[in-house]
Amino acid sequence: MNLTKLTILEARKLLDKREISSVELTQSTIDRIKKIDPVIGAFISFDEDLALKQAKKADQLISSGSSYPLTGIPFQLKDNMCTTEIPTTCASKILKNFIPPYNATVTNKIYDQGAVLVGKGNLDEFAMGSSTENSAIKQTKNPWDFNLVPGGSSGGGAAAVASGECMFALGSDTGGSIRQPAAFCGIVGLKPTYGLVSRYGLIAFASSLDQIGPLTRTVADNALVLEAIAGNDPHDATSITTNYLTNYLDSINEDLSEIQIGIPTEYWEQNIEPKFKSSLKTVIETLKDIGVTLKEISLPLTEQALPVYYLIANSEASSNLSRYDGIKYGYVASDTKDIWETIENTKGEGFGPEVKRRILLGTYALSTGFFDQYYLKAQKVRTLIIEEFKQTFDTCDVIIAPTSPSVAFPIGSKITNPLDMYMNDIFTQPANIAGIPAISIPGGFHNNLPFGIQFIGNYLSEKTLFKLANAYEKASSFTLTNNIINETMENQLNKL
Amino acid sequence: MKLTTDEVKYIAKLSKISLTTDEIEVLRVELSQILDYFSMLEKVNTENISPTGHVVETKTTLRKDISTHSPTNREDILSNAPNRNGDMIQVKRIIE
Repeated sequence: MNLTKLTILEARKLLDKREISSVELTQSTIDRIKKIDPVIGAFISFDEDLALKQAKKADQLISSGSSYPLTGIPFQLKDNMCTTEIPTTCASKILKNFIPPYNATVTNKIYDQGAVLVGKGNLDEFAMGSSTENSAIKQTKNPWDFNLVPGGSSGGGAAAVASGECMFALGSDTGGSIRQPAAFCGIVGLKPTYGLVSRYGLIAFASSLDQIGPLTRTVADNALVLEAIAGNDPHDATSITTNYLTNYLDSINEDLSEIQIGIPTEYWEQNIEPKFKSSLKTVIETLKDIGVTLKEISLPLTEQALPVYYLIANSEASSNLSRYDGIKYGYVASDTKDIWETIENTKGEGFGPEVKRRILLGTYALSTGFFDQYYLKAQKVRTLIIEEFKQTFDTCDVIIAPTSPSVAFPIGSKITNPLDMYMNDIFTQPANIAGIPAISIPGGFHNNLPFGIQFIGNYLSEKTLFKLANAYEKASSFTLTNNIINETMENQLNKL
Repeated sequence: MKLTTDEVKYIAKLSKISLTTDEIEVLRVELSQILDYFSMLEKVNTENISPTGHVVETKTTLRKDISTHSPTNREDILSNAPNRNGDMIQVKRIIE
């Protein structure tokens, strides 16, 4: 039995029946990482001893009969979430060797369940990017084709989960950074409602847009991980205090016949290559088969969402990243004449090109004379976009959209044109602007590569999204739990 | 929108980031293109529209000003500092 390809739910049963131990499961995962990660490059750091120590503890917990849903399950954290035992780098030279003095809330919540941290995942530097090519540490490769990007910024997490290097990963999604890599790697990725998961200990990129969520191989596993990490946190002032449901898994098979799905013309008719569009449209046929009602809708501000997103994200980033001054932690420039030169050279030498570009754009948008024209204007259009979604959810329950305008693209093909790279987020960032949840699940295959399909819902509608995604997953069977799909992946990985 | 070299240098100064001459030229071209693209927002009518604050909650969460953290080990914080002098973080002279 290949333990690394079990779902969390399957592994849970075997662990609780003592048919396997967490040490065995973790050792298989470690062996897998050692074999394939020199090429895949999904991990920035990997601590075998720590993982096995946690696995032994998990086995004791299971023996005592008090296991939680994630006890003994190997997982990866994106390297922008704080861990006191492993450096947290944000894939940046400026934070190389930084060891946080505290754990992120999500780290503690997962640890409380006794899950096993096998390592930290690669990302675009400070989560800024859509291909993981902006990592200052390494290039992650798409496990379906090693010449392609895994997507980004949570490319390390998506590649690791798809290739069996862990059973789940936590990513962060500011404009699509969980959903787009999930789509490119053929797995499930959820961006929850803003504030549902605590951001405490998530190294800030754009505070009004950032949200942590799970990357998993199935929808049910995703629901299970969200249950573990959701909830109010007094350490995060933007954490929601309203009532929300957390029994996502229990209701995953409930009836869907009442659900109305909106198909927004703007997402389906523009910016997509015609052959890819016809592959995407097979999704609509599958949805008709599962018995939901479909109707055409319109979201006219879709195109404007992209500049709104980049203006707000970069403005917030320019403020958040001002803390990297080389004084309290991280990289510091040497041979400088005074404190100001130290700060300027630390940032100049420590940040990569995309991070500098975004800080400069954000600084410009917030500067005297341009604030009203750029930042304030973006926040006003944001209000209109939120209003547009609110009105849409009066007429339908869920919006269906492609996750990305293409399948995974070749490494190096977009990195020299920032605007071209930004266009990749066109279908994902509206959900961040409005703070609403969206899930990407495998929608099918195009040119032998997986593509993602996105369900976008109203505030705190995660339960509905999981129900619908689960029904689609069952009807279509495009996940890695499908033997034929898994074999295709294994044949590729066996080359390593 | 065409940014000048001096404008890029000025934004870099505000951002406290040192840039090489080559970087300034590349950024001048790229930032100009990106800002051109962003200008599509000018056409959206936002008269009498309030800017967004928080997307979900309507009120700010407040709590009593009491530390809710378990005490962090001082050494864990200090050991991350690139330059330290005993129990202090060392910086270059700020006031001459």
